[in-house]
Amino acid sequence: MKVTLKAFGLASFYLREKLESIELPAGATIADLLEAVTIKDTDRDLSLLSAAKFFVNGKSAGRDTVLHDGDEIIFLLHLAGG
Amino acid sequence: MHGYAGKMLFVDLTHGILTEKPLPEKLARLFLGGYGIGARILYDMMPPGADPLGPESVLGFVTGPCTGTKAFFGSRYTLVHKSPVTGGWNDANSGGYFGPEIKKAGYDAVFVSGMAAKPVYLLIRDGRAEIRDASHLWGKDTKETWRLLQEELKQPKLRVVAIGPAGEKMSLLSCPINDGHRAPGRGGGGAVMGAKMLKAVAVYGTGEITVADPQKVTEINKKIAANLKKNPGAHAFGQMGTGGGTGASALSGDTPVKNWAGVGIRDIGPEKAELLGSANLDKYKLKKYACYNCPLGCGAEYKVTDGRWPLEQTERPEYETAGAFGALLLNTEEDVVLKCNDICNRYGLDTISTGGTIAWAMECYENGVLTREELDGIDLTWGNGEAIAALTQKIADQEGCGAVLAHGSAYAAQKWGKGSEYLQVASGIELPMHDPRLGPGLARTYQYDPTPGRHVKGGIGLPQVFGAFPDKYDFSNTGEMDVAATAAQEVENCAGLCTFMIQSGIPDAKEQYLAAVTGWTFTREDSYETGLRILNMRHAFNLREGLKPADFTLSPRAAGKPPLAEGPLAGVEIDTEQLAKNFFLKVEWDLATGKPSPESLQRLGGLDDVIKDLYSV
Ligand code: SF4
Repeated sequence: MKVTLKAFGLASFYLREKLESIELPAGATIADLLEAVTIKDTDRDLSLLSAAKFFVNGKSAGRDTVLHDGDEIIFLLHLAGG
Repeated sequence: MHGYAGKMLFVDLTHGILTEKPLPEKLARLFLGGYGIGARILYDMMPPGADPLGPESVLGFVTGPCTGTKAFFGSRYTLVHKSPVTGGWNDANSGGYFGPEIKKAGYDAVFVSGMAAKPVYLLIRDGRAEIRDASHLWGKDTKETWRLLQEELKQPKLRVVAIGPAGEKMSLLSCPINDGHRAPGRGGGGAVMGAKMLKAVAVYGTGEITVADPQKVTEINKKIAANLKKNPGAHAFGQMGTGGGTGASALSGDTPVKNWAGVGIRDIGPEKAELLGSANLDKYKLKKYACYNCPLGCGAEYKVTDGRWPLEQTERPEYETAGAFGALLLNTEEDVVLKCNDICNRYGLDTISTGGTIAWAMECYENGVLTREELDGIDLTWGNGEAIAALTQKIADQEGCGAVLAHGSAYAAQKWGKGSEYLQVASGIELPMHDPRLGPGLARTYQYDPTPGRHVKGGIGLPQVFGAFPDKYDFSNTGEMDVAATAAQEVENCAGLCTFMIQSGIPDAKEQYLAAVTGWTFTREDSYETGLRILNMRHAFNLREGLKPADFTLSPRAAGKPPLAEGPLAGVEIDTEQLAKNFFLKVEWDLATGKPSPESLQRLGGLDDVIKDLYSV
């Protein structure tokens, strides 16, 4: 299945490349999506990712949310500060 | 004394008298700097009930021990005074280069009392201070004032904090601006300067502030630099500034939307959210801007050559500004944010309160409480960029309806006798751009901090916004963490350090710096005590003004009363009473009277007169 992904704020700094459309196996969850698209670079602090927030088709979602073909996922992480 | 210039300057504008006093080591040890020393001195100098815009009001520019040293992030000074907005204690800090310059010129703090009969500015050059005529500068904007002073004094390195026309006209939204765009923005400090006819403070110095252990400071700097490299957050910060996350914040529920009644994911949506903040604005970036000795550098200079409002020289709006003129007004036209930011910097206006005031007026307009006629023909519908820019200009000029709105939403609601149900304020000051419904601890901070309505006053709220805290809506047992996080922030602020040093990845970086800079032992326990002492000092100032806990108010929407029906914050309602109770109990303040227990004050030390004021009949 194909899903689309939009990353906001700090989240975009964790993507391996600027992907908009991602092919995933059926039954994949947000956690699987993250596994597929985020950096694995051990030199960077990955702990911040635990605070990421998600929307699927405009509704709040979590890491275990199961995705479906055509879903639009928003992956966002605040920049601490302001 | 390492880390300090060792002197304070007192300026009496009424009589034109300047006095220099040594900074007592005891004062520095107990109250550190910034608003710690500021609150201690103002408590002594000001009588209770003083008019913030009258001659008895004292205004201070206070640095901290890390300000102007080689310690990273040591760029800050704090403006302290009684607020003409809230009627209580006020402090607001600012970065740039002005604070470090005060110390290089030989002073840790400058306190100004009285009122001048005509416009003046204060000139400080390497330990020599004088009051000078500023008639020729009156009416000029903050950047022009800076430039003119540099030219006339033939000193290109002169650092200036100045009010613009907004402060001169004593707008309660006004603030001074230093270095052309850095602002101790909140609480009406511009009006206090305007009332004193103090147009500017201009400083130039060549001194150096010694630190006790320079090697250790370098070591900490190196550790921080290495950490920053590994931290994508720091990377993003340096590249996009604080406004880089504006889109994310509008969707997540961090930025309040539509005067705190909206839902980002519904009312703005992902497509438009992408237009918010630096992501869309950095095409105008000329170069990066960093405050004094800052390894992050969250600022940027812009040049806008196209669009409705070309701007030869302006700055990247920071997150609060991008939120206040963006999502809060349902505005996604970023050139409007740029224009309003530019107006605010030049006229000397607090962007948070100006945006908040416009949001209030918009909701009044939507509901027919304010008519188009009353708004001088402006069609103030949500997201109407032209209207937002026009109203900001009117507020800056105090023209037409702007003459009333220039004093903020609470003032306007009272003056016009309507619309108070749409106010989003804490003790009368507009709320900042982080939503307590996402970080519930913010409700306590906004409402009960002695400087209400601030996002840089510690507590557990901001960590809850930015981190993963699954239990954050459990309101029991928050006291200990809330007080600890508040005390820690007191110390960071008063040390003269920028709050974004949180990116450094070293939780006790401030204690390490303070020990290395001053040579004093500075454990986390010392830090906690110092923080509490400072918190109590600010609180004591308010108590002496007659303010009780019941006088500290927070508009209900921000606490989820009623809760939002949709979006990521749907259903969230904050038990503000419980949060307050937890905090008051831990900090040993009486819930009804606000009085700290005499034992706690005794334990903290340096507050004997406060005990006497509170407990002797
Ligand atoms: S992080 Fe930004 S505001 Fe803080 S000192 Fe650095 S440049 Fe200034």
